[in-house]
Amino acid sequence: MERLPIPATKSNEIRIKEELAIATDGKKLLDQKKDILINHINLLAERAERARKDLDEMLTRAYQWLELAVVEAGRNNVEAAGLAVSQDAQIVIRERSLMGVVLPIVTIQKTRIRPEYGLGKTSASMDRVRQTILSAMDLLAEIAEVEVGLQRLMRETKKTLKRINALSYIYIPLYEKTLRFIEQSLEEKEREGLFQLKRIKAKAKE
Amino acid sequence: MRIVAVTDPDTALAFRLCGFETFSVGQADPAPILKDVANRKDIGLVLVTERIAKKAGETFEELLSEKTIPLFVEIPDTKGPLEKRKSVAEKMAAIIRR
Repeated sequence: MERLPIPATKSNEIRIKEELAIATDGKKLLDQKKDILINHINLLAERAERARKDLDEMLTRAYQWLELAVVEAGRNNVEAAGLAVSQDAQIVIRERSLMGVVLPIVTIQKTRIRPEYGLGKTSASMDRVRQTILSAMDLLAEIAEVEVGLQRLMRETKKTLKRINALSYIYIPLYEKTLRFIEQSLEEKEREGLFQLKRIKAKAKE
Repeated sequence: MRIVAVTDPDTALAFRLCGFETFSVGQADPAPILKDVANRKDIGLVLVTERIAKKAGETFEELLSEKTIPLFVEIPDTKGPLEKRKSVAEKMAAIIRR
């Protein structure tokens, strides 16, 4: 292991001691941060899995209705009906921060479903598609909130782990090594000084 | 803010019926469309089908990490959900192992 290429002086000793203290503190803090992040990930993971499963089911049902609609009314008519519909849902995103990670808080506001296309050339299955997808909106909001949050938390965890590793395997050993070297050199110098002093004293006596 | 869907033409039909703006991607490369959508200020949520997200690959990943808004959510398309979906536990394990 390398040590820092600095001369062994008292001031350097003090400086390195401080650096080492900061690095150790930093590592402790990062460890805590990592724990908090991972805790939150576990919390969200459970919600994510449940919501995902429900959404898959919901959309599968919507697509079945869609298939029926296409068979009943024809693809062109489904497309034409779609043109008449104005947007049924709006999304509101707020943000909160956990350990510097921006987590979204999502709500989707649904407008009341009302018929917007004519009765001719359209079918009940089209209404079903709309209904099913709209009722999936709450799930979608939950998933947007949880999954996006998870992605960001994981990215941050990765970064934190990297920093912890850098501190505990590179910087802290480096500082410790340098500090030990400086301390030893200083001790050596002190002994030498003491020895010389003794000799001078002995000479003065003669 | 608005919700839009980037999907294949079939899946687009379903979301059209709810009045969402949809961008259908056929055989074309979905990356430029995703980028355009990500840069629009009025959009809050982008639904992307899993197959398209997979096709866009790195571009999609980049958008996910760069943008805080809009949010991107992968949804199954008319052919059903993709089989191999990584669970959170698996993703975590991959991160920690490194």
